[in-house]
Amino acid sequence: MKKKNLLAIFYALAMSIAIGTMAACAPSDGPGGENPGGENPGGENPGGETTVYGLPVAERGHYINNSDLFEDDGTRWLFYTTNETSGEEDNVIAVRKAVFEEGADKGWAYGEETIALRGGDGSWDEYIGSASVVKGSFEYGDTEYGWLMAYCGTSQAGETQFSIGLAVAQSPDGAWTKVGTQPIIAFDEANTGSAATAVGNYAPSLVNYDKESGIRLFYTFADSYGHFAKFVDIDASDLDAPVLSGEAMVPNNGEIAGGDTVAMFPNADFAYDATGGTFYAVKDYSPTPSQAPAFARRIQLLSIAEEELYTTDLGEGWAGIRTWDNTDTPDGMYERLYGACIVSDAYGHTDGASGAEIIYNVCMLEADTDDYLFTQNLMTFEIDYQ
Amino acid sequence: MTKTRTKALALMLGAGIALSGICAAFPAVTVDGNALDTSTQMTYPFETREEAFRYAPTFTGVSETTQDLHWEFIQVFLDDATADFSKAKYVAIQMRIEQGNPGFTVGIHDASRNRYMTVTDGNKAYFLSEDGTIQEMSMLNTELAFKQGMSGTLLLPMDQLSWQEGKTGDLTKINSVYFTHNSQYHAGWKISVGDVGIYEGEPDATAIRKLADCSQAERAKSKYHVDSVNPDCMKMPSESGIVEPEPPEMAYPFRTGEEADTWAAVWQGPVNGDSSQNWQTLTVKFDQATVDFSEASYLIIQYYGMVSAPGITFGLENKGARYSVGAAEADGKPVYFMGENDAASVKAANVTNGAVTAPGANKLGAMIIPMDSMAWQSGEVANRDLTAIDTLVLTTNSQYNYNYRIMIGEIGLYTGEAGSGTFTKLLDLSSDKSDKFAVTSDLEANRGSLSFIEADAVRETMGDATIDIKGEGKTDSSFSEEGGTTGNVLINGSYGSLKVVKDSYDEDAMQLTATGITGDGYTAFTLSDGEDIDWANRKGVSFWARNDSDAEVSFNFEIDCKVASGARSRFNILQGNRYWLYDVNTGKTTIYMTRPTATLPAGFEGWVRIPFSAFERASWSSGVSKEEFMGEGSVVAYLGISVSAASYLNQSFSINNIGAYTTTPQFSSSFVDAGGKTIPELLGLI
Repeated sequence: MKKKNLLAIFYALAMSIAIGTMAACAPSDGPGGENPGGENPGGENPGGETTVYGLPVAERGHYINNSDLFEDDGTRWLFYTTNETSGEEDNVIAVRKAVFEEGADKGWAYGEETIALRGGDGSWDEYIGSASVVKGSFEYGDTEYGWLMAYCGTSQAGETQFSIGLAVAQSPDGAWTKVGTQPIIAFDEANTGSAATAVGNYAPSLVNYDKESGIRLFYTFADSYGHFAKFVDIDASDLDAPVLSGEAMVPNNGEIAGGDTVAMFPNADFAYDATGGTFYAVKDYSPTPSQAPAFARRIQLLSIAEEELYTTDLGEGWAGIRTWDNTDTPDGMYERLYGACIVSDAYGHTDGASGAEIIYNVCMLEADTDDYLFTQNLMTFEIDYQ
Repeated sequence: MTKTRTKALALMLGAGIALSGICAAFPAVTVDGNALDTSTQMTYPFETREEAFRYAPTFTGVSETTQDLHWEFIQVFLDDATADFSKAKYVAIQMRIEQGNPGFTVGIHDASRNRYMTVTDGNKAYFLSEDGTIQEMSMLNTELAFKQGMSGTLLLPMDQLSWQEGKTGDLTKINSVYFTHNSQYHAGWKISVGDVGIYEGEPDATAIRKLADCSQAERAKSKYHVDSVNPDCMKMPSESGIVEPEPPEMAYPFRTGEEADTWAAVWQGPVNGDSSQNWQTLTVKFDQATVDFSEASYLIIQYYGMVSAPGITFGLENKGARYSVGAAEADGKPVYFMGENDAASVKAANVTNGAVTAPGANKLGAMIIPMDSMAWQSGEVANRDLTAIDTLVLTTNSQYNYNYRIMIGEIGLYTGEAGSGTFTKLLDLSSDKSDKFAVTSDLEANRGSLSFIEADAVRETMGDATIDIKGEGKTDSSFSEEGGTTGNVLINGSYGSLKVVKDSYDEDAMQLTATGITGDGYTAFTLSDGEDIDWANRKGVSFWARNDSDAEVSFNFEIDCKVASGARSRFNILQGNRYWLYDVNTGKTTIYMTRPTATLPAGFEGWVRIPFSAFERASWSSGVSKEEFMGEGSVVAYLGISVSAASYLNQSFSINNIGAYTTTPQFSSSFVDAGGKTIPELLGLI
């Protein structure tokens, strides 16, 4: 049986979350067109002599979603979830390296796709996706590693009950070694509402807080009460015996947009401005199940003072920076915007004094194509944090 | 005779306005519509130019807006005790805005203290200048907005006014006009108020009928009443040349810090006022049977106006002869107050109508009463001897002053010049001396009560948390029961059981279980009813808990918060709020989410802290706002725990040591330091 991707997460989201109606928007020609990758997205000779600049585009029968993009010493690394087999939903985590080329009509040139991680047959992570990677210093099995990945996985074919696991590597392009045989954040059936259908723990987002081994793992927990962000701090210097803090729910007060009675924080990616003592996050709106796919149709960028994460005293909460919807996509053609990440440095840090780059997913509607799942691709926004 | 207005009433009624932002308008009289507008030509009804305001008092507001709510109140009584306004079409008030741009709620008072006032947004009033021009004023948030320099006559059409909060008063027995506003929003103003009259028809078609006349001479000071944070709010024209004495400068003479109020007495006034005079009296004896005040320059009393600011008559007695601010010659004399952390004293009030009304004394401090601000008021002449004072006496009339709460602690006297003299403590409260205090009243049926601040000194605590409800000493039949057998609790429909079990520390705890579904599907356990637990100004609820089931279990706190006004509302926890779990077995602290209420994860055993911000007023309840919840002066009148029997049937959980905490914990990890604010540190467990 082929492994499915994480779409079920979003279907489950739609099952439990209030939604709004949406005006249908017929796709038009424009950047990306009906098939953002084109008939042959890599050109006549993908990976060959022709260099394509900008974010990679999924080949026909493939999709790209749940990206994580960071820059390390002039090199960009893009992790994302994709399907290994055309037309199937057999998720793997892939990585591409990019270098910047100066010149007109040039820019970031992405290299070949490498499979970084696959699900484990019969394991808790048989179905995987949604990687987040940071640089640091991590020892595991008497070996020093410089890179840490968090990803989510489940043994449930129906894509419920997700847990979060770790993997390490000497280099972003591998090889990646899974840490242990159990997740670091396990799905806890006893403490989950409607456990059989609960999504569980997904959307891991790593920040290397001290740029050594002090890791903050953000993730979304979802069950019948909704989707809320949490974090746990990990002393990851010795991954044979990692030291975890208690989990902490991320504040859900302030200018959080989403249309929920109780403000939720689904599918978020985080970045840390250590100088400003601020965390930034980009999150989905609650998804729209009125037309498949039941992905979100808006994303929101927010910030919060670091100290507010550590207390239950109500402060200012999250400050909304910008919300994007279909009108912000090329020609307004994409009704679905979701699964965004903040482009950070290799530690998951960002500079609040400068601008941010947001990588997000778009997808066509079922109403437009039966193959809508294979129209998932990445796009980008740039914004000034201030 | 002491005569003070009801501060408590003003506060209570005023608070209602502040909270709602609107008041229901109840047209109380049927009157013809008024014809006045800005084009009306009418004869100016009062004195003009230099003749105007010659004998009018001025009223000055606070210099800066106050942090706490206080309803500044100015009342101008009519020359006669009451007048019939039932046929009045307009009320005319001569006034001048000397300084600032204040807004006022303006109205008239009947003899039963009902207010007919500017209530309805958009309703009109008019301001007639001496030159005959009329400007229209519109009510907004019950107020009329005045501008500096306005000088003339405020004309209030009766059909534009309404009774406050739906009460219906008696327009045939009006005794005064008044101005009021919240000092949190208005400051830096000064106004003069002169004559008052009414028109019983359209102006000029009918003549003005003057009801308060200061056109020819200054009226008696007792014809005015103010309740202001500014003790010098009211100045009569004859007082304009008086030089105010400087407040005394001296070191704060009493205890300070956390133990500063230990064994102090709290005098709670009767909740409701009386229809006629009823003197409430607090007497305090000294450590010695008698004290020589003959050389004293100040009487100093440790004081805290906790709720409201009643007019208090302070006095010293020798065999019943009373040396007091209630003496006629004390009127207008100053009384000072010094907060325990203040560098200097400030004037708290001028003695007015024999009493001290000191809204600024709303914190722990020292009431400093110059001996010159008192005089012999009553008693046999033979006993009018300051060398043998045996009692401190505080009195107030609950016809006007009720539902107040003031703290009286240590007492001393000061001899010599302030700063260079000597303080002598006359009542030392380093130990329990509750037998020195007593309360009485003319009418036993409506008498204030006395309690002592032993709670904080001996109140059981665990670190920064109080322990107010616990399993210790309870048995299976200790809890309120409306059905079932011993140990089974039936409240609000569903069945439950409550057993005594052991907690993590081998102490008695309470195990709660919803055991059957009937009625509304909830099982409620009453843990405290009528004990008035003080959780005011604390951060949230603290308790020990254990989930004795094999799945997540949630329950709610049913808390009735009662505030000083007597209002009481039910509050409980809503979904989506963050709170603290400290597991004693794993040593980990979690910021969890209420799912949907107070939630104990499976396997949890330890301490829980839920911030009060997670509580909201129940949809069916009213009276106490979220802002007032656990605010100053509030108490927990009822505490119960409710469990959805349908959702958590037979899922037992145990709780113990329920109280309130004062310090919000801090998240900690291997790289985030909590700065000593982890839950075990705050509880003193490590």
